[in-house]
Amino acid sequence: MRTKVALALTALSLGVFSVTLVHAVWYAPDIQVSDASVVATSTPAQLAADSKEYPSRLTIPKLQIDANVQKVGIAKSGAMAVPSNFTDVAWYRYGALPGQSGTAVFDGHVDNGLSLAGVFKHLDSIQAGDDIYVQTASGTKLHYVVSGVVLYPYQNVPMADITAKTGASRLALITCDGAWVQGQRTYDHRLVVYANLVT
Amino acid sequence: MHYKKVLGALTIAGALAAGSTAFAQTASTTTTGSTTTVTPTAPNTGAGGNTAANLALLGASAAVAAGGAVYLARKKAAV
Repeated sequence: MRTKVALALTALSLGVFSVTLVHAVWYAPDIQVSDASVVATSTPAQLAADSKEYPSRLTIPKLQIDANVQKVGIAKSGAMAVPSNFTDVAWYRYGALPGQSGTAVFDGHVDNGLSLAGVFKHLDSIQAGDDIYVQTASGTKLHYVVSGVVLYPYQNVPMADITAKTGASRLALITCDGAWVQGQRTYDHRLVVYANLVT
Repeated sequence: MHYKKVLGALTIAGALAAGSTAFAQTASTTTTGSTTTVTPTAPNTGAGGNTAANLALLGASAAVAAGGAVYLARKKAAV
């Protein structure tokens, strides 16, 4: 009997260890709400045409970032969803397409569950005038130049403005900043980098 | 008795890692004619604050697994 309990505890512990390690370091997907409950404004033909203009890579030479781009929607919490790992960035697929009118929104992790660097760990060192490139699925490379870096309290990020699909073509890159709020399990600020399309 | 202590430690570590409250705000919805637009809240792009809980859980589960493996190995050797 004791042997069976020991065997079960050992197996359970190995499982807990593995799941915790993977979740903290490699894979932490958001549960997203379904497309149908969010928006239903695009036809299948339009979606197919648009998919060639979906972003596939985001490059920031100054920060040595060359990241794969995931497509995300809205998480179950009501927030813009995040990449399922700590090395990719995510593009908000209900917002503007890169290169078209409005703001194409990207987010990325600042760190992982063991405080190791995420893809946007050093985003706070970017400055106005720095270059950002977005490559689309069709191979087009779009060049943006940073116009501003703004730090917002996490409950006052102007997401309606940031996700606007009208106005000049620009990027918004979002990551966490500030101090950890244990009760909310999130950082207390969001760093938003704005960049304008050049070519 | 020893196993109860271990299970208790694992439960506490698990509760720490899971946390009691997660960051959640309500997305706003705007309807114009037949078009519904949902504005999400700011993304939660950091997990560094969970480090202590994750390390506790990793340490506790590793200790239990190692203890169990040693116990099983000794039991097998004794047979």
